[in-house]
Amino acid sequence: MTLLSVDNLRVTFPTRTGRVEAVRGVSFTLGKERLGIVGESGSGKSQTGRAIMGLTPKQAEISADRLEFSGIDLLKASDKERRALRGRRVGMILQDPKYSLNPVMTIGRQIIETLQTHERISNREARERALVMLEAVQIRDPGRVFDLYPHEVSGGMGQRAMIAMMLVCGPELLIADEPTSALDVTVQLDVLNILDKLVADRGMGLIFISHDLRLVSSFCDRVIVMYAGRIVEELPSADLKSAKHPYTQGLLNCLPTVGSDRHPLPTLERQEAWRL
Amino acid sequence: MSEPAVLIRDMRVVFDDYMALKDVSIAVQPKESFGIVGESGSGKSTLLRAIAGLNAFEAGTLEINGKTYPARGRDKAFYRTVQMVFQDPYGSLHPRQTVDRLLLEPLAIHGFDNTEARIARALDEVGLGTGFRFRYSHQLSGGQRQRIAIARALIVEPKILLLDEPTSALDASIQAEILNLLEQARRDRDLTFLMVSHDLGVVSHMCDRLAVMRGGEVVETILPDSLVTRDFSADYTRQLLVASEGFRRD
Repeated sequence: MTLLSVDNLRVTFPTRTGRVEAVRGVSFTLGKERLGIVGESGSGKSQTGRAIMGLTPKQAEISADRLEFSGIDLLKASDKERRALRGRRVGMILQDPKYSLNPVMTIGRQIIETLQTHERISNREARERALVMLEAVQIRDPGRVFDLYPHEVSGGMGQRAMIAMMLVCGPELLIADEPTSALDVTVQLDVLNILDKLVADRGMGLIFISHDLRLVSSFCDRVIVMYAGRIVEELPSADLKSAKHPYTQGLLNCLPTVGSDRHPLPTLERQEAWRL
Repeated sequence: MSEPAVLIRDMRVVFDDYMALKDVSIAVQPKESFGIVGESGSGKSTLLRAIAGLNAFEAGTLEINGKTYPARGRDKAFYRTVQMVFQDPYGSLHPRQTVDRLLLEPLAIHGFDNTEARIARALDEVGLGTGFRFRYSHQLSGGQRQRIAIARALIVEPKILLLDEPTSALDASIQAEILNLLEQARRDRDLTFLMVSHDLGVVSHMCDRLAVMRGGEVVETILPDSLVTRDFSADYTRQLLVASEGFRRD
């Protein structure tokens, strides 16, 4: 079953020095699976996610032959319809909990806000569900964390709270934009484990956006590699070793790892032809 | 053995009631590349900053090439020998100074002559050509900014380079370029590196020895090879190693 279909998506920003095409004709479909989008800064991976979410800045132009989420044409949907989708049926986790959570609202209040925006439920029931959700993201003392402000919790805890906030309404599609890049390495694994379990248990579609090809491939079923606003390669994670595009191979090889002795490290020789 | 380039004995740093460094001792030999791994709050950056004089230490001693330095305050000669590169290339360059001005300042402070040629050579060494000379930092990418930060550190011809997560704000592909640049500079100039990172892969690639830090203490000091042979004792080192291997579904 196709949850999301994207066909020839373009996102263009008008700037003083001319039009900048951040996304140039991206096409893919997504079912209830885990899809990774990988690329460097400026490759258009985040703008692709934001366009699906409807968070592209006002001045940008979006065009696509098709941008459909479970039968709804996202390009024709009104602001009101998109608001009804966001948080309820499509959720998004951002990179840094320090900047993405509301600093003057307790974590519990923020989760309840999401719930009460989309569902008519009593304060008490909302509180109950928020606490259950905090427990589901493996926060040990949900009652205490519920009343804390974002600055009072660690990065890992903040990121769990953001996951809780996004999943509390039970969305069908989750977009995670660098969900663990701001976290310590050992905490990263905890957060990924939690995310992995919830996505599997609830049968969501997941788009995982990151610059770390290895991480993405270990987490997702399928990987899309983007360069300069285009998809240069798409392949199942299992076949990553047989990637054909030199850019994908470059991304795979450039990471220093324990036990490999490569001096100097291989670097990417970027070629103009990849842009085309 | 020769005199250590950096010798720290029982260094303690306290912020109000919080002990950030608990009597840490390390010795880095000349021309050695020494790594420190640890997570946020382990005290690894505090250690570098205490060496550089950016925060004071309460107890312990610091010796650079045999010369003892006090808990606070560093003389000019110190900064001729020791330079630092910071994590965030967006925060560590003056936003209203051109690259030229940024590189001129350390030269002026230390009374170097022939500044024109030195600036041109410094830019060349970090692979940025003179075309970048009159740009502001906001006109550069993250990787280019980090190259400027490295050029600024190297331009006073230091002997010891303190590197505080020099690549963790960069893309994986740019990281490789910066690491190669640093290795090249170390070979060309016989530099001593003291490098801090949370990434075990980066530290084991760059360093001859590494210390694992946690909660303000050095858990253990090992050789990068012993990570491969699993020849280490601390459980925390194992945790870091597992984490560096990436996500695995059980």
